[in-house]
Amino acid sequence: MKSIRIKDLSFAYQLENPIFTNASLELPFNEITFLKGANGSGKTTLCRILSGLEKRYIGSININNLNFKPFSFTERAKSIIYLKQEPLSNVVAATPEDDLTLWQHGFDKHPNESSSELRKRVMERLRIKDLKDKPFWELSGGQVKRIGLAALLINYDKYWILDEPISGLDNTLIRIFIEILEERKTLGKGCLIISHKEDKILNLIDKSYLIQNEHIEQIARKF
Amino acid sequence: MLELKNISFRYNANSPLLINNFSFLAVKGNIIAVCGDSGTGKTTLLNIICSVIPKIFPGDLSGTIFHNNINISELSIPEVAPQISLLMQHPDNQLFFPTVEQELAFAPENLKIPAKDIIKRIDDVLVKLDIEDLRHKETASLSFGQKKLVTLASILTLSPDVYLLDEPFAGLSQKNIKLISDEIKTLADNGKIIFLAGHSNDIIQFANKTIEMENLNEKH
Repeated sequence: MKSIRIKDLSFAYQLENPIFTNASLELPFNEITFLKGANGSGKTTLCRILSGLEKRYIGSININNLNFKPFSFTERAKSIIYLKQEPLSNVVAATPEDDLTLWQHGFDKHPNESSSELRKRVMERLRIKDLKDKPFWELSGGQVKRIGLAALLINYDKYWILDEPISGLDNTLIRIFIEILEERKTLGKGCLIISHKEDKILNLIDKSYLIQNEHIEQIARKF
Repeated sequence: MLELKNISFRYNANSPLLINNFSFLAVKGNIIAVCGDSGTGKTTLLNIICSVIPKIFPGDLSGTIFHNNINISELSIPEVAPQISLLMQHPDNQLFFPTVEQELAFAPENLKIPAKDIIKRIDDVLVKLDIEDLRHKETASLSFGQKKLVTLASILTLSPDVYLLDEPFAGLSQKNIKLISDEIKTLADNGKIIFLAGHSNDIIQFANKTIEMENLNEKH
Protein backbone atom coordinates (compact mmCIF):
# COMPACT_ATOMS: atom_id res chain seq x y z
CA MET A 1 0.00 0.00 0.00
CA LYS A 2 1.13 3.50 -0.77
CA SER A 3 2.18 5.62 2.16
CA ILE A 4 4.24 8.53 3.36
CA ARG A 5 6.88 7.45 5.85
CA ILE A 6 8.48 10.07 8.09
CA LYS A 7 11.55 8.90 9.93
CA ASP A 8 13.71 10.75 12.47
CA LEU A 9 12.42 14.12 11.40
CA SER A 10 14.04 17.16 12.99
CA PHE A 11 13.00 20.69 12.21
CA ALA A 12 13.28 24.18 13.70
CA TYR A 13 12.44 27.66 12.47
CA GLN A 14 15.01 28.95 14.94
CA LEU A 15 17.66 26.65 16.37
CA GLU A 16 16.79 27.50 19.96
CA ASN A 17 13.16 26.44 19.46
CA PRO A 18 13.05 23.00 17.86
CA ILE A 19 9.62 21.90 16.61
CA PHE A 20 10.52 18.26 15.86
CA THR A 21 13.41 16.17 17.15
CA ASN A 22 13.68 12.67 15.66
CA ALA A 23 9.94 12.39 15.11
CA SER A 24 8.54 9.48 13.13
CA LEU A 25 5.12 8.81 11.61
CA GLU A 26 3.66 6.63 8.88
CA LEU A 27 0.70 7.79 6.82
CA PRO A 28 -0.84 4.90 4.85
CA PHE A 29 -2.85 6.27 1.91
CA ASN A 30 -5.82 4.01 2.62
CA GLU A 31 -6.25 5.05 6.26
CA ILE A 32 -7.62 8.05 8.08
CA THR A 33 -4.92 9.35 10.39
CA PHE A 34 -5.74 11.89 13.06
CA LEU A 35 -3.16 14.25 14.53
CA LYS A 36 -3.58 16.63 17.44
CA GLY A 37 -1.33 18.77 19.63
CA ALA A 38 -1.27 21.96 21.67
CA ASN A 39 -1.40 25.37 19.98
CA GLY A 40 2.03 26.03 18.53
CA SER A 41 3.21 22.40 18.81
CA GLY A 42 3.92 22.04 15.08
CA LYS A 43 0.78 20.61 13.46
CA THR A 44 0.69 23.09 10.62
CA THR A 45 4.48 22.91 10.31
CA LEU A 46 4.19 19.19 9.59
CA CYS A 47 1.72 19.97 6.78
CA ARG A 48 4.10 22.54 5.37
CA ILE A 49 6.93 20.03 5.39
CA LEU A 50 4.81 17.36 3.68
CA SER A 51 3.59 19.77 1.02
CA GLY A 52 7.12 20.97 0.26
CA LEU A 53 6.76 24.49 1.67
CA GLU A 54 9.54 23.72 4.18
CA LYS A 55 12.53 21.76 2.95
CA ARG A 56 15.12 22.54 5.60
CA TYR A 57 14.41 19.45 7.64
CA ILE A 58 16.71 16.66 8.78
CA GLY A 59 15.64 13.03 8.57
CA SER A 60 13.83 11.21 5.83
CA ILE A 61 10.39 11.50 4.31
CA ASN A 62 9.61 8.82 1.75
CA ILE A 63 6.60 8.45 -0.45
CA ASN A 64 6.26 4.89 -1.70
CA ASN A 65 9.87 4.35 -0.67
CA LEU A 66 11.11 7.27 -2.78
CA ASN A 67 12.80 10.22 -1.09
CA PHE A 68 10.21 13.01 -1.09
CA LYS A 69 12.64 15.90 -0.61
CA PRO A 70 13.68 16.54 -4.22
CA PHE A 71 10.06 16.37 -5.43
CA SER A 72 8.80 19.64 -6.92
CA PHE A 73 5.39 21.04 -5.97
CA THR A 74 3.99 19.75 -9.24
CA GLU A 75 5.29 16.26 -8.58
CA ARG A 76 3.97 16.29 -5.02
CA ALA A 77 0.61 17.56 -6.20
CA LYS A 78 0.18 14.41 -8.29
CA SER A 79 -0.30 12.37 -5.14
CA ILE A 80 -1.24 14.76 -2.32
CA ILE A 81 -3.37 17.84 -1.81
CA TYR A 82 -2.96 20.10 1.22
CA LEU A 83 -5.86 22.19 2.47
CA LYS A 84 -4.66 25.00 4.68
CA GLN A 85 -6.35 26.04 7.89
CA GLU A 86 -7.08 29.63 6.91
CA PRO A 87 -9.73 29.34 4.21
CA LEU A 88 -8.65 32.32 2.11
CA SER A 89 -5.07 31.06 1.85
CA ASN A 90 -6.31 28.21 -0.38
CA VAL A 91 -7.89 30.59 -2.85
CA VAL A 92 -6.12 31.22 -6.15
CA ALA A 93 -8.71 33.09 -8.24
CA ALA A 94 -11.42 35.73 -7.93
CA THR A 95 -14.52 33.53 -8.06
CA PRO A 96 -15.24 29.94 -6.96
CA GLU A 97 -15.82 28.86 -10.56
CA ASP A 98 -12.42 30.22 -11.68
CA ASP A 99 -10.74 28.89 -8.58
CA LEU A 100 -11.98 25.34 -9.12
CA THR A 101 -11.07 25.50 -12.81
CA LEU A 102 -7.50 26.31 -11.77
CA TRP A 103 -7.49 23.43 -9.30
CA GLN A 104 -8.61 21.19 -12.16
CA HIS A 105 -6.32 22.32 -14.95
CA GLY A 106 -3.63 24.52 -13.46
CA PHE A 107 -2.95 27.67 -15.44
CA ASP A 108 -3.01 25.64 -18.60
CA LYS A 109 -6.79 25.76 -18.99
CA HIS A 110 -8.53 23.13 -21.06
CA PRO A 111 -12.17 23.86 -20.53
CA ASN A 112 -14.31 20.99 -21.68
CA GLU A 113 -17.71 19.61 -20.91
CA SER A 114 -16.68 16.82 -18.57
CA SER A 115 -14.58 19.15 -16.42
CA SER A 116 -17.35 21.72 -16.13
CA GLU A 117 -19.77 18.89 -15.35
CA LEU A 118 -17.48 17.76 -12.51
CA ARG A 119 -17.31 21.28 -11.09
CA LYS A 120 -21.07 21.52 -11.23
CA ARG A 121 -21.55 18.22 -9.38
CA VAL A 122 -19.00 19.13 -6.74
CA MET A 123 -20.56 22.53 -6.11
CA GLU A 124 -24.02 21.01 -5.87
CA ARG A 125 -22.82 18.50 -3.32
CA LEU A 126 -21.32 21.23 -1.13
CA ARG A 127 -24.29 23.59 -1.61
CA ILE A 128 -22.25 26.35 -3.23
CA LYS A 129 -23.82 26.37 -6.68
CA ASP A 130 -25.34 29.81 -6.10
CA LEU A 131 -21.96 31.23 -5.09
CA LYS A 132 -20.10 30.09 -8.17
CA ASP A 133 -19.67 33.50 -9.81
CA LYS A 134 -19.54 35.62 -6.66
CA PRO A 135 -16.20 37.26 -5.91
CA PHE A 136 -14.48 35.79 -2.85
CA TRP A 137 -14.51 39.09 -1.01
CA GLU A 138 -18.32 38.90 -0.87
CA LEU A 139 -18.29 35.42 0.71
CA SER A 140 -18.34 34.65 4.40
CA GLY A 141 -15.57 32.71 6.15
CA GLY A 142 -17.63 29.51 6.20
CA GLN A 143 -18.53 29.85 2.53
CA VAL A 144 -14.87 30.21 1.54
CA LYS A 145 -14.14 27.10 3.59
CA ARG A 146 -16.69 25.20 1.48
CA ILE A 147 -14.92 26.22 -1.73
CA GLY A 148 -11.75 24.69 -0.25
CA LEU A 149 -13.62 21.42 0.26
CA ALA A 150 -14.76 21.63 -3.35
CA ALA A 151 -11.12 21.77 -4.42
CA LEU A 152 -10.60 18.53 -2.52
CA LEU A 153 -13.46 16.86 -4.34
CA ILE A 154 -11.93 17.95 -7.64
CA ASN A 155 -8.82 16.07 -6.45
CA TYR A 156 -10.80 13.12 -5.15
CA ASP A 157 -8.21 10.38 -5.73
CA LYS A 158 -5.25 12.09 -4.08
CA TYR A 159 -4.17 11.71 -0.47
CA TRP A 160 -5.73 14.61 1.44
CA ILE A 161 -3.81 16.57 4.07
CA LEU A 162 -6.38 18.56 6.01
CA ASP A 163 -5.53 21.25 8.54
CA GLU A 164 -8.61 21.92 10.72
CA PRO A 165 -11.06 21.03 7.94
CA ILE A 166 -14.18 21.21 10.12
CA SER A 167 -13.63 24.49 11.92
CA GLY A 168 -15.92 27.17 10.52
CA LEU A 169 -18.30 24.67 8.88
CA ASP A 170 -21.95 24.71 9.85
CA ASN A 171 -23.69 21.49 10.91
CA THR A 172 -25.13 20.74 7.46
CA LEU A 173 -21.69 20.91 5.91
CA ILE A 174 -20.05 18.90 8.67
CA ARG A 175 -22.56 16.13 7.92
CA ILE A 176 -21.85 16.27 4.19
CA PHE A 177 -18.10 16.31 4.79
CA ILE A 178 -18.26 13.26 7.05
CA GLU A 179 -20.29 11.45 4.39
CA ILE A 180 -17.57 12.21 1.88
CA LEU A 181 -14.83 10.91 4.19
CA GLU A 182 -16.85 7.72 4.78
CA GLU A 183 -17.43 7.20 1.11
CA ARG A 184 -13.77 7.67 0.27
CA LYS A 185 -12.77 5.32 3.04
CA THR A 186 -14.82 2.50 1.57
CA LEU A 187 -12.90 3.14 -1.67
CA GLY A 188 -9.57 2.78 0.15
CA LYS A 189 -8.75 6.48 0.10
CA GLY A 190 -7.53 8.03 3.31
CA CYS A 191 -6.36 11.35 4.62
CA LEU A 192 -4.48 13.09 7.40
CA ILE A 193 -6.77 15.18 9.58
CA ILE A 194 -5.22 17.72 11.87
CA SER A 195 -7.53 19.13 14.47
CA HIS A 196 -8.14 19.70 18.14
CA LYS A 197 -11.41 17.84 18.13
CA GLU A 198 -11.98 14.30 16.99
CA ASP A 199 -15.44 13.78 18.50
CA LYS A 200 -17.35 14.25 15.23
CA ILE A 201 -15.13 11.89 13.21
CA LEU A 202 -14.17 9.44 15.93
CA ASN A 203 -15.65 6.39 14.17
CA LEU A 204 -13.72 7.09 10.98
CA ILE A 205 -10.26 7.36 12.46
CA ASP A 206 -7.84 4.46 12.02
CA LYS A 207 -4.97 5.82 14.07
CA SER A 208 -4.52 8.88 16.26
CA TYR A 209 -1.31 10.69 17.07
CA LEU A 210 -0.26 13.49 19.36
CA ILE A 211 2.56 15.98 18.84
CA GLN A 212 4.24 16.45 22.19
CA ASN A 213 7.76 17.35 23.29
CA GLU A 214 8.95 17.52 19.66
CA HIS A 215 7.80 13.94 19.05
CA ILE A 216 4.82 12.32 17.39
CA GLU A 217 3.32 9.62 19.57
CA GLN A 218 0.49 7.26 18.81
CA ILE A 219 -2.55 7.55 21.08
CA ALA A 220 -4.28 4.34 22.20
CA ARG A 221 -7.30 3.44 20.06
CA LYS A 222 -9.89 4.07 22.77
CA PHE A 223 -9.74 7.57 24.08
CA MET B 1 -26.69 48.17 28.15
CA LEU B 2 -26.69 47.70 24.40
CA GLU B 3 -29.85 48.20 22.41
CA LEU B 4 -30.37 47.39 18.73
CA LYS B 5 -33.47 49.11 17.38
CA ASN B 6 -35.12 48.17 14.09
CA ILE B 7 -31.90 47.17 12.37
CA SER B 8 -32.22 46.34 8.67
CA PHE B 9 -29.28 45.69 6.42
CA ARG B 10 -28.28 44.56 2.97
CA TYR B 11 -24.95 44.84 1.18
CA ASN B 12 -26.52 46.33 -1.93
CA ALA B 13 -29.90 47.31 -3.30
CA ASN B 14 -30.20 44.16 -5.42
CA SER B 15 -29.78 41.65 -2.62
CA PRO B 16 -32.44 40.56 -0.10
CA LEU B 17 -32.23 41.95 3.42
CA LEU B 18 -29.67 39.98 5.43
CA ILE B 19 -31.14 41.53 8.57
CA ASN B 20 -34.82 42.40 8.47
CA ASN B 21 -36.09 44.83 11.10
CA PHE B 22 -34.27 43.31 14.08
CA SER B 23 -34.46 44.66 17.61
CA PHE B 24 -32.54 43.29 20.56
CA LEU B 25 -31.58 44.28 24.06
CA ALA B 26 -28.43 43.08 25.80
CA VAL B 27 -27.83 43.93 29.43
CA LYS B 28 -24.78 43.59 31.65
CA GLY B 29 -23.75 40.00 32.17
CA ASN B 30 -25.38 38.68 28.98
CA ILE B 31 -23.56 36.09 26.90
CA ILE B 32 -25.24 36.02 23.51
CA ALA B 33 -24.68 33.22 20.99
CA VAL B 34 -24.97 34.34 17.35
CA CYS B 35 -25.73 31.18 15.37
CA GLY B 36 -26.66 30.20 11.84
CA ASP B 37 -25.36 28.52 8.72
CA SER B 38 -22.54 29.97 6.66
CA GLY B 39 -23.51 33.14 4.88
CA THR B 40 -26.52 34.00 7.07
CA GLY B 41 -24.85 37.14 8.44
CA LYS B 42 -23.16 36.34 11.76
CA THR B 43 -20.01 38.34 10.98
CA THR B 44 -22.12 41.06 9.37
CA LEU B 45 -24.15 41.52 12.57
CA LEU B 46 -20.98 41.87 14.67
CA ASN B 47 -19.58 44.39 12.19
CA ILE B 48 -22.78 46.42 12.50
CA ILE B 49 -22.75 46.39 16.30
CA CYS B 50 -19.24 47.89 16.40
CA SER B 51 -20.14 50.24 13.51
CA VAL B 52 -17.42 48.91 11.19
CA ILE B 53 -20.49 48.65 8.97
CA PRO B 54 -21.22 51.26 7.63
CA LYS B 55 -18.20 53.34 8.71
CA ILE B 56 -15.56 51.16 6.99
CA PHE B 57 -17.50 48.62 4.95
CA PRO B 58 -20.34 50.11 2.93
CA GLY B 59 -23.88 48.81 2.92
CA ASP B 60 -27.51 49.76 3.15
CA LEU B 61 -28.13 50.05 6.91
CA SER B 62 -31.10 51.46 8.81
CA GLY B 63 -32.03 51.45 12.48
CA THR B 64 -30.15 52.63 15.56
CA ILE B 65 -27.74 51.14 18.08
CA PHE B 66 -27.60 52.62 21.57
CA HIS B 67 -24.77 51.85 23.93
CA ASN B 68 -25.52 53.21 27.41
CA ASN B 69 -28.14 55.42 25.75
CA ILE B 70 -25.65 56.96 23.31
CA ASN B 71 -26.35 56.50 19.61
CA ILE B 72 -23.12 54.95 18.35
CA SER B 73 -23.62 56.20 14.79
CA GLU B 74 -22.72 59.63 16.20
CA LEU B 75 -19.33 58.34 17.40
CA SER B 76 -16.17 57.74 15.39
CA ILE B 77 -14.56 54.28 15.15
CA PRO B 78 -11.76 55.27 17.58
CA GLU B 79 -14.47 56.32 20.04
CA VAL B 80 -16.51 53.13 19.64
CA ALA B 81 -13.67 50.58 19.60
CA PRO B 82 -12.54 50.92 23.24
CA GLN B 83 -16.15 50.36 24.39
CA ILE B 84 -17.27 47.78 21.85
CA SER B 85 -14.37 45.63 20.67
CA LEU B 86 -14.27 43.10 17.88
CA LEU B 87 -12.28 39.87 17.70
CA MET B 88 -12.10 39.10 13.99
CA GLN B 89 -12.58 35.63 12.59
CA HIS B 90 -9.22 35.69 10.81
CA PRO B 91 -6.47 36.84 13.18
CA ASP B 92 -4.22 37.90 10.28
CA ASN B 93 -6.72 40.65 9.50
CA GLN B 94 -6.36 41.99 13.01
CA LEU B 95 -2.64 41.66 13.82
CA PHE B 96 -0.72 44.76 12.94
CA PHE B 97 2.61 44.95 14.75
CA PRO B 98 5.91 43.03 14.49
CA THR B 99 5.89 41.66 18.03
CA VAL B 100 3.24 40.43 20.43
CA GLU B 101 4.12 43.01 23.06
CA GLN B 102 3.81 45.89 20.61
CA GLU B 103 0.50 44.51 19.40
CA LEU B 104 -0.86 44.44 22.93
CA ALA B 105 0.44 47.92 23.77
CA PHE B 106 -1.05 49.63 20.74
CA ALA B 107 -4.68 50.06 21.78
CA PRO B 108 -4.03 51.20 25.36
CA GLU B 109 -1.34 53.61 24.10
CA ASN B 110 -3.96 55.17 21.87
CA LEU B 111 -6.18 55.64 24.88
CA LYS B 112 -3.28 57.58 26.45
CA ILE B 113 -3.02 55.20 29.35
CA PRO B 114 0.22 55.76 31.34
CA ALA B 115 3.08 53.46 30.28
CA LYS B 116 3.40 51.65 33.59
CA ASP B 117 -0.32 50.85 33.60
CA ILE B 118 -0.03 49.51 30.06
CA ILE B 119 2.78 47.20 31.11
CA LYS B 120 0.69 46.02 34.04
CA ARG B 121 -2.28 45.31 31.75
CA ILE B 122 -0.08 43.38 29.33
CA ASP B 123 1.48 41.37 32.16
CA ASP B 124 -1.96 40.47 33.51
CA VAL B 125 -3.41 39.46 30.17
CA LEU B 126 -0.41 37.32 29.21
CA VAL B 127 -0.70 35.44 32.50
CA LYS B 128 -4.47 35.12 32.17
CA LEU B 129 -4.21 33.50 28.73
CA ASP B 130 -1.08 31.55 29.63
CA ILE B 131 0.95 33.01 26.75
CA GLU B 132 3.81 34.71 28.60
CA ASP B 133 6.24 32.78 26.40
CA LEU B 134 4.90 34.60 23.32
CA ARG B 135 5.55 38.12 24.65
CA HIS B 136 8.65 38.86 22.55
CA LYS B 137 7.76 36.63 19.59
CA GLU B 138 7.10 38.02 16.14
CA THR B 139 3.38 37.89 15.44
CA ALA B 140 4.05 36.58 11.92
CA SER B 141 5.85 33.54 13.32
CA LEU B 142 2.89 32.36 15.42
CA SER B 143 0.56 29.50 14.61
CA PHE B 144 -3.10 30.13 13.86
CA GLY B 145 -4.20 29.21 17.39
CA GLN B 146 -1.51 31.38 18.97
CA LYS B 147 -2.53 34.33 16.79
CA LYS B 148 -6.10 33.86 17.94
CA LEU B 149 -4.98 34.03 21.57
CA VAL B 150 -2.91 37.17 20.92
CA THR B 151 -5.79 38.99 19.20
CA LEU B 152 -8.03 38.07 22.11
CA ALA B 153 -5.36 39.35 24.50
CA SER B 154 -5.25 42.65 22.61
CA ILE B 155 -8.97 43.14 23.25
CA LEU B 156 -8.67 42.19 26.90
CA THR B 157 -6.04 44.92 27.42
CA LEU B 158 -8.73 47.42 26.38
CA SER B 159 -11.29 46.12 28.85
CA PRO B 160 -14.32 47.21 26.78
CA ASP B 161 -17.97 46.97 27.90
CA VAL B 162 -18.99 44.84 24.94
CA TYR B 163 -16.97 41.98 23.43
CA LEU B 164 -17.80 40.82 19.90
CA LEU B 165 -16.02 37.51 19.41
CA ASP B 166 -16.20 35.99 15.93
CA GLU B 167 -15.48 32.25 16.13
CA PRO B 168 -13.25 32.66 19.19
CA PHE B 169 -12.66 28.93 19.63
CA ALA B 170 -11.66 28.04 16.06
CA GLY B 171 -8.22 26.48 15.98
CA LEU B 172 -7.83 26.37 19.76
CA SER B 173 -6.84 23.29 21.75
CA GLN B 174 -9.28 21.90 24.32
CA LYS B 175 -7.12 23.35 27.07
CA ASN B 176 -7.27 26.82 25.54
CA ILE B 177 -11.00 26.54 24.82
CA LYS B 178 -11.53 25.84 28.52
CA LEU B 179 -9.30 28.78 29.44
CA ILE B 180 -11.16 31.20 27.15
CA SER B 181 -14.58 29.87 28.21
CA ASP B 182 -13.72 30.52 31.82
CA GLU B 183 -12.48 34.01 30.96
CA ILE B 184 -15.73 34.75 29.09
CA LYS B 185 -17.77 33.65 32.11
CA THR B 186 -15.65 35.84 34.38
CA LEU B 187 -16.17 38.82 32.07
CA ALA B 188 -19.94 38.25 32.18
CA ASP B 189 -19.87 37.95 35.96
CA ASN B 190 -18.14 41.33 36.01
CA GLY B 191 -20.97 42.93 34.04
CA LYS B 192 -19.56 42.77 30.52
CA ILE B 193 -21.69 41.91 27.49
CA ILE B 194 -20.30 39.19 25.21
CA PHE B 195 -21.46 38.21 21.74
CA LEU B 196 -20.14 34.88 20.42
CA ALA B 197 -20.54 34.05 16.74
CA GLY B 198 -19.98 30.51 15.53
CA HIS B 199 -21.31 27.06 14.76
CA SER B 200 -20.05 24.94 17.51
CA ASN B 201 -22.08 23.76 20.47
CA ASP B 202 -19.30 25.12 22.68
CA ILE B 203 -20.75 28.54 22.00
CA ILE B 204 -24.40 27.80 22.67
CA GLN B 205 -23.87 25.85 25.85
CA PHE B 206 -22.93 28.73 28.10
CA ALA B 207 -24.80 31.55 26.39
CA ASN B 208 -27.85 32.92 28.15
CA LYS B 209 -29.37 34.39 24.96
CA THR B 210 -29.32 33.18 21.38
CA ILE B 211 -29.72 34.99 18.08
CA GLU B 212 -30.59 32.65 15.19
CA MET B 213 -29.47 34.52 12.07
CA GLU B 214 -31.88 32.60 9.80
CA ASN B 215 -34.77 34.29 11.62
CA LEU B 216 -33.31 37.70 10.77
CA ASN B 217 -32.91 37.00 7.06
CA GLU B 218 -35.64 38.31 4.78
CA LYS B 219 -37.85 35.47 3.59
CA HIS B 220 -37.93 35.27 -0.18
